[in-house]
Amino acid sequence: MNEPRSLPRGRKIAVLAVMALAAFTLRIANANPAQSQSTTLTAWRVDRDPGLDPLAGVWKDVPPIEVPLTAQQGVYPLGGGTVATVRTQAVHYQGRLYLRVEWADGSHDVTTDQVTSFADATAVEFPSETSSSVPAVCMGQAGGGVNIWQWRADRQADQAALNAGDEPVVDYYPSRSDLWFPARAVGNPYAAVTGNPVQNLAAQSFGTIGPTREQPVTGRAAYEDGRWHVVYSRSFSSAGADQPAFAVGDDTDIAFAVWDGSNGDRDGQKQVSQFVQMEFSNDTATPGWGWLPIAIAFALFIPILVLMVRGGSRSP
Amino acid sequence: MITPQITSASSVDRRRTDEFQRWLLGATVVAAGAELLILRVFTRTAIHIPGFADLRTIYVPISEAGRSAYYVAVVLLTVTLVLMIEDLHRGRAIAARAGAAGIALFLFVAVIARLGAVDALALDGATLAAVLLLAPWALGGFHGRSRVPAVLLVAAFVLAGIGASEQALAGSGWTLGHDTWVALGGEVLALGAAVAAPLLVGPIRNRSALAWGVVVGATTYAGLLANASTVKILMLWNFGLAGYLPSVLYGLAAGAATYTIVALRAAGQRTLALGMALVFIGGIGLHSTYQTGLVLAGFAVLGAAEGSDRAGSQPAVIGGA
Repeated sequence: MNEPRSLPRGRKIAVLAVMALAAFTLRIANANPAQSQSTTLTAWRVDRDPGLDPLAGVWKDVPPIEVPLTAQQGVYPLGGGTVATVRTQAVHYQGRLYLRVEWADGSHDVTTDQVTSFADATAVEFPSETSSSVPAVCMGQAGGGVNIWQWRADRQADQAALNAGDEPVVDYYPSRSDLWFPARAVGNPYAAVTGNPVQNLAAQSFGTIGPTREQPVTGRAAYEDGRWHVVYSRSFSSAGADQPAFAVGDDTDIAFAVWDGSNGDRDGQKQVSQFVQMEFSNDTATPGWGWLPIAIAFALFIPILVLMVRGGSRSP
Repeated sequence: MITPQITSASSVDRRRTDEFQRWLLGATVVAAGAELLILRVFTRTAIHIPGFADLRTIYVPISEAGRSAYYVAVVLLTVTLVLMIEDLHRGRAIAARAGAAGIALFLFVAVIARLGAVDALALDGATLAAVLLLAPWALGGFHGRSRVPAVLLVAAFVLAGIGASEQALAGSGWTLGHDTWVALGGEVLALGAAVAAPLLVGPIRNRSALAWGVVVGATTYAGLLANASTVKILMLWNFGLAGYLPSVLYGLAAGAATYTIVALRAAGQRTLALGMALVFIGGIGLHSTYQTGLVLAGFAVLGAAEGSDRAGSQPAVIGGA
């Protein structure tokens, strides 16, 4: 039987020092050597303005992630389940986040002119504070609110009709003053003509969701080849306490919801995801030099440490 | 760290340990435990504290300590895994060499995945293959009733690997539709493993371990009763448990796992305690290559535990590997 292997004291200290140096190098460089195996959405830096066009060429270079959806079964009205996944991408340009959501939907549902017709829609949800925090995914909770950006096809279609000079429902009003639009006059957000198909909402549990005072989120969608493509955009800076501020290097969480109008989806009848993590990277989507500290650590520190342990562990 | 080495398949005391590597393994558990408590639990929970903004001066340094613990744990774990590959590869038994191949495959794919060379499906597939390759080694050290928790742990992680691979497949347009039962099955097996873990210790005699188990179990159960949404999502993100089952089972599982680790350590079975701690800290969620690496290291240690713990506190080197 051999004697137990053991390192000389000096070599132990040296090994510990090299390990501490490796950890310190990675920390300073903020270079995480571990690869996420859960779904993580990275907002990459881009060098040109992506704009709100969901079919812009800039998105071709951004790797998408696929987020699974399930029918919402937590609160009435239950339902959904016709859309299995959303594909999403994110970039940031000069302090502004651009988020693209894409999903397959064979029906192009853009009108809500009857009580039985519902529009396609999608929403993204963030914790009100930027961090990897854990509000309840369904509308948050007291003390842990959520900020929701909802795009609706009917809002965009209505706006397009207005822009084209067509009233979406009524052909003629004697006046365009608020007197003839009482809902708009009292501030009903659904009646407001904002030119923006995206609504910025906040909630702190079921039944508390409502539009925020500020509406800093813009967006635009396109329907092509049986797929909806929606782009949201908002400045990194927060417009209120119930809305997160973003910064490069931050991690946060994001969840997705999709409504399929022809399936009767509205309100809680929708498909939803769990929260997935989202990180704001200073790298471009094409590989840069961000891998260098990790490569150095693996190519240099780890073999050195193994050799130091092995080299001194043999007993005479 | 434990460096399992096999000199012959029939040898009872077939592994040898190294004092420094044992220390390295202990340090990995401590760093990973600190990272779990501070980074994965505290920083994700503190945000719910009313008036949290006033506590930022405390929160920031604590959060930084957790982040530093993470980087230390990653370095320790990487060195640990590399040394394990070498030691397992030196063994003559097929199970040891298969285990070495499994860890090497996982480490290689984890590195190239981080560098962007392969996608999530390849990484999840490599993880699943690594667990299957390592399983015979991990289970080989257990006999009789003590095999039950080990088999359940490995089975839970295999199901989790299948689930993760299915999700990655879904990204390519393939949906097999097994997600729910795979996730539920993995959760049932993981809870079963934790509840059965005291079988590794034998009759309950250690009051201190029992007290620790009761405190952790009761705290988990109380947390689930008081704020189920937060505790369940913490369980999901930290351990891959979605909270499908009655809350009392999660309290029982947390208590039994804690009791087992403390009791094993008190009984001088330190290696087994460290192996179980690594697996429980890693969880079954396949959240990152770091957490998966903790589990794989834990499985490798479990396979080596019986021989090295039987050798007592004095590390033993058997045979001339």
